Amino acid sequence: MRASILRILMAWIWLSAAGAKWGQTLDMAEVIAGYRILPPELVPLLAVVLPPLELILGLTLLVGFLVESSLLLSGLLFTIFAAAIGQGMWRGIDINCGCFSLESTANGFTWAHLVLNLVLAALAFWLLKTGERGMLAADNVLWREQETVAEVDEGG
Amino acid sequence: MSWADRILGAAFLLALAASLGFWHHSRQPQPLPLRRPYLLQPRVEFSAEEAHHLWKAGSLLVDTRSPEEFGEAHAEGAWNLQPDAHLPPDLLRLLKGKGMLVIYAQAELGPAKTLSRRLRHAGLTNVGVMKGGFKAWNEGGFPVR
Repeated sequence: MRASILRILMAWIWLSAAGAKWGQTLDMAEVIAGYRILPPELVPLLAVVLPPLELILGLTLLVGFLVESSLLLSGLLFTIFAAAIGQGMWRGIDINCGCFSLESTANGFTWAHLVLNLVLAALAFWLLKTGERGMLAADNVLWREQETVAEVDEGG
Repeated sequence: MSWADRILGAAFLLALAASLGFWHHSRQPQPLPLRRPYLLQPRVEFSAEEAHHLWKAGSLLVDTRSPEEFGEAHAEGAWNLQPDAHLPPDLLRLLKGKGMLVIYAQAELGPAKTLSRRLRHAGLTNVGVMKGGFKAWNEGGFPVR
């Protein structure tokens, strides 16, 4: 139950983030460039790939498909986002973080953005470590047979 | 699930996201050129008063509001261009020769900045946005049609 709630909460966060960025590649590129981390050649590529990645992670976590891979990617992404926000705060960069909105009127980074990403990263890695998928996960059906065989092998 | 399976699954999800992203991008009417480096654009913002001075000196005001809002009232001499408007080369050439382009929305900056980015990315450098938008222009008592 606990795993289901956390998985669906994370799915909702990814879907909200993807919805705010979908189809706005230019605004997305501006936000990414604003972090002043990536070389300009990579900015358009990331602007194109990041929103669908968030969408796919949202959907896979929602339906419980490839949960562990999704949690692994989610944990890595949240960690990278936290590091990017942290360096932006350290350098005093005043841009929109691009987390849930690409509105150019949004004000800089806040500690809340940093803490939220760190908490989400910790949750993703913790869920991955426990191996819990929760109820209503497609993986429970898809992997059941293989897991049963593995358990029998280990037992035998 | 082993770590190898998890990593393989993650690679599959990444590949799926990249495919979806590039497919969706290719269907955009004016996609962002992927091979052109994206440089952070300078912030150029004017107050309504500064915009009025520029307008008197021959610069062009660009209104990003809906045609209905534009029809009701707009800054005198302004052109109506939506944030997602098609930007053919002829129009870009025309805009290039118009002095400073001062783009505005109703009161917010978002739509004006979106059009400003698109114009800058299309190669124009004479682009800025008006803070406070049409509301500030109107309240400042500047010419309205």
